[in-house]
This record gives sequence, C-alpha cells and structure tokens, in this order.
Amino acid sequence: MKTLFIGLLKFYRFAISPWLGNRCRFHPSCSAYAIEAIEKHGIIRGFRLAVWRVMRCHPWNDGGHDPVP
Amino acid sequence: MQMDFKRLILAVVFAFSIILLWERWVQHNTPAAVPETAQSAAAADSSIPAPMASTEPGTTVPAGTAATLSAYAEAPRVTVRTDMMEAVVSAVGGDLIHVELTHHKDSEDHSKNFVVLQESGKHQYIANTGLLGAEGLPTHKTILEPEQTGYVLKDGENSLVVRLKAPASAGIEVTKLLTFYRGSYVVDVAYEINNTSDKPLNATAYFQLARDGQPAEHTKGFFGGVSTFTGPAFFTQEGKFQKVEFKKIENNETSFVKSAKDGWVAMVQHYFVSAWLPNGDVQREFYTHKISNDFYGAGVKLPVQVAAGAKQSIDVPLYVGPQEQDKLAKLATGFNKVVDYGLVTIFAEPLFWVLNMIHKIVGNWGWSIILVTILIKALFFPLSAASYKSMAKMKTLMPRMKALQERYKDDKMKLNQAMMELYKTEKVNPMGGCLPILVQMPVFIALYWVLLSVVEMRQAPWMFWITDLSVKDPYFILPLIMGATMFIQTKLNPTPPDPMQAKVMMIMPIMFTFMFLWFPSGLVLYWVVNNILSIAQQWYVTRMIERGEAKAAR
Repeated sequence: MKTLFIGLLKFYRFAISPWLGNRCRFHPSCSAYAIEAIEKHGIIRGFRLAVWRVMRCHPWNDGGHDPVP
Repeated sequence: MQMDFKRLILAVVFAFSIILLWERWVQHNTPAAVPETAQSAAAADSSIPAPMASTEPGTTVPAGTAATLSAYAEAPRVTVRTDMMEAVVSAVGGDLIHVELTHHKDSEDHSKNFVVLQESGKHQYIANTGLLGAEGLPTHKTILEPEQTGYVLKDGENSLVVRLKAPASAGIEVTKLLTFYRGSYVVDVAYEINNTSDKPLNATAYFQLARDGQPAEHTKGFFGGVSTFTGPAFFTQEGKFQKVEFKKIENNETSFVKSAKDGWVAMVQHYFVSAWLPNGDVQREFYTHKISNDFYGAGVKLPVQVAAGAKQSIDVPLYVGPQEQDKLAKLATGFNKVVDYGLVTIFAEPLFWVLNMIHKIVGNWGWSIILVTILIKALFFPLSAASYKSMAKMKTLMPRMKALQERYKDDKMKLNQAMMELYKTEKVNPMGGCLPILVQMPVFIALYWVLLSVVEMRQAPWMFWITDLSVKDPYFILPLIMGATMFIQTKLNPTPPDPMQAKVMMIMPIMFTFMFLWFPSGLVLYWVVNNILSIAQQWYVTRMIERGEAKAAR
C-alpha cells in the first residue's frame, strides 16, 4: 500500500510534473514532501500532512522552506 | 532507482496500448452480437410482472404462449407518423415496438433516422403495457383490435389518437389509447376501462421498458476506458436518481427505491432516453426483472380502481427522444439527470448551462466550446495574476539571487532552499502553487464529460471539415494540431535533467496524438484551445521573467 502510494507519487514526479512546470511555492516541493511524509509517518499521517501542505500551497501563502516534521 | 523508473514507464506505456487495443477489439466485435430472444415455454411467464401487493390476491398471470418478440412479427401493425417521429404500434398488447426520430439521424448513415425503440435489428427495445388483477384484462401479450392501420399527423392538427380495443370480456371493456403530439417526443399512453359489471374492479396497470443488455453507440472515453451508462434508471424524491446496471438485474442484486408516491422510470443510453413519467401523487411501485436471455424489463405499476358501473381511465406519458436538457427538466422532476456526467456532475451542470447560454448567442457549438474554454481560463487567471505581480518585484532581488547562485554552485538543493528563504523574507514568489492546478483539474474533467455526454453535440458542425463534433475528425487534422501544441509545450518547459525522463517527455505528445485520433472532435477542439491558451500564458510569464532579468543585469 505504502509502496503503491509512493510509486504513484514518483510516477507523477517523473511523467506529469514536467508538463505542469515548476510551480510549488515551497521547498521541498509538494510531491517530494508527500513522499517523504509517507515514508516517515506512514500512510494515514503522511497523507494528511501532504494534503495540508497542498492546501497551503497557493498564491496567498508566502511559501519558503518547509520540511517534513 | 533508475531501473525502477524505466520499468514503471514501460509498464504504463504498455498498459495504455493494451487498453486502446482492447477497446478497438471490443468495438469491432459487439455490434454483430444479436441477443437470443427465444423464451422458455415455461408455465410462469417472466415477461409479465406480478400484480401490486395491494391488489386482491388470486389473480392468475396469463401463461406465455409464444416468444413475445416473435409474436410482433406476425401480428397486425399500426404505423404512426408525426413531425417528430415515425412509430409502429403492434396489435400485440398495443405495444410501441418501433420509434425513429425524424430530427436525429443515424450515426453511420445520415440519410436514415435514428432508431430508439425497435423490436428487431441492432437492439431489441420496446415499451409495453398491460393490466393485471382480473380475468380477461389485456396484458402486453393480448391481441388488441386496432381501429385503423395507419395514422399521419396532418397540417393544422396538433395531436392524433391511436385506439386499440381489447377483446370483449364479461363486464369489462378496455380500450388502449396512444396520443401523439405535434412537436413533442411525448406519447400519452392510456387505458379506458368501462366496468359494466356489478362488482368494483381492483386492478394494476404496468408500464414497462424492455431492452437487451447491450450498450448503444460506443463512445471513446478518456484513455479509451470510460463509456457512458446504458440501462434502466429510476427517480424518486426519496432515492433521487438511481441507475441500475443490467448485470445487477441478471444477478438479482438491484437496490433502488421500489415504492413511492412520486417518480419515474427510464431506460438511458448515450444521448437518448425513453421513460414512463406518471403524473401526480399516486402510490406506485417500481420494478426490474430479467425477461429472457439478455432481455430485461424495468417499469412502474399503478393501481386502478373502477367502481361497479363506472368508467375510469389511467394515463401515463411516455417520453422517447433525445436528452435535450431544457425539454427534459420541464417534463418531470429530476428528468434532466439522465444526462450522465458521472462523478463530476456538480461542476458539469453549471458548465453546460454556460455552454448552452453561449450557444444561444453564437448559434454554433464549436465556437461555444472555444468561448467556454477561454472563459474558464480567464476565470482562473487571477490565480496566476498574483505570481505575475511578484515577478515585477523579483527584478530588485536579482543581484542577491546571482550571489546565491555563485555561493551554492555545486549544491542544487541548498540553492533551492536558500532561494525559497529569500522569497519568503522578501515576500515574493514566482510560483503559483500546487493548489490552483488541483482546483482547475475537476473543472476541466467536467467539461470533458459535458462534451462527451450531451446530445446537443451530436451531429453539430463547427466549421470547415468538422461536420459532427461528437465523432472523430475525418482527416485527423485537429489531433495532429493537438500533438503539435503538446510538442511546443515540451519545448517551453525546461528539459528534465534525467535523460530517460527527457525521452518520456518527447514520447508523450506522440502517445497523446495517437490516443486522440479517434476522440470526438469537440473534445479535441477543446484540448487544442486549452493547450494554445496555456502556451500563450506560459510564454507571457517567461517573457516577464526574462525582462526582469535583463533589467536587473543592466
């Protein structure tokens, strides 16, 4: 399950992300953050962290360096 | 790691090709399959539903003597022609066994009408009715006596009535009436019951749609896999819109609201629908059943009470026609829901509303698609506007960024990190963020479903060679333009550092072009416009950044 999620995220980073361009306001980028979060905290907590991160990644947020806790 | 990626990409490419091949193969094989309709001559006739629970018990369900569909071939027929349809009513049950729509043409042969109901041919699909509950009441198998053999709606007339008399039985006279209207896809189907006996009559009237389980017209879906729903559907206030798959009827696993004081039953297919739309606040029962091999029925039962010596009639409108949404919504509550958008309904309905409004002004669906695509892009523009503004501020930071680039020449990660910190402290950021793109996705997916689902696109022209937005581009010009725009997009984006990834980026436009070759041209048109707008937007952004850099360098 964990491998599947990370596999999907890696596929996104590999094949889809280049099409959308570099658009994340944070470092590490949302997808890299999601992979790290799931690896570190497991699917449920990692997924929640990743969703929260994507929700914050919009033009009215300052962005910046925001590593996985 | 590298190996993993290679495998993953190869797997995905293979999966796409297999799905596409499989779908082509399925499409190639299905139309020829004519389902077997011969019924078992068992005593219990599965084509006739049981009476409503509320009616008196002890009524015998007439046994089937011959296969329903073959009985139609031998019985007399009544032909009906109006300005909207050409219909055939069989003497068997007074059933509607053929309806073709004069304003909608066949998918392949445009000189022929589109056929919805048909007792033989590509599909077996009929609308039949009957009465249950007492000896001698006509079911959908009873041979009725038509008054005339042909009807034509004449100029100046607004409706015509087809009358069929049921065989005389002790104390009860029944006449079936089918009323056709000018400019309408509605046929009012009624029973006039004259109870001349001295006992009250407690009967059940059933109105059903019977169809084979094969999907109607095949439609290309996204990545080849998705097609629209074919099958029965019910609507009640309690259950709202509920679709029932033929497979569920076959396996006896149906679940929908079966008893209500409102609602209707429909048989849905891509672009077209037929439905029984009972009026008023009357208790009704909905049902589905398997009639014979690959032949299913879905219908509604209504109670009919006729006092001794009284006359009574029961009337249920039948709709057989295209899913034109403004017409459907007026006929019955929730009837517009038969246009099936799947999961994205919430976005798709307002999108179609806008599309329809624009169409009313410009009068061409092709141009309407283009305008809606531009409109959506414009609507989301403020999301990127914020980043354009900060880009203007960026130029003041250029010297400090240059310095950072010098310092972290060999460590890209450190550089990124430091740049992000700089953006944050100076409150600028050239990136739009991940959320805006995530918000836009469902809207574009919804537009995709609208273009795929609405009958208004069927045989609607755009300009030049595009004469039907719902089928493939006959010369494949739009898909090739689409491929070209995608190729330009790869050139605009920075080449990924990984050579394997770079290769995949180059293969993607070719794959997509191949996939889009057989897509409805309306969809490809939307994709082309969307790509061109994206390219323009990106080009504008890049130019802004370059200008900023140039000024900073001076």
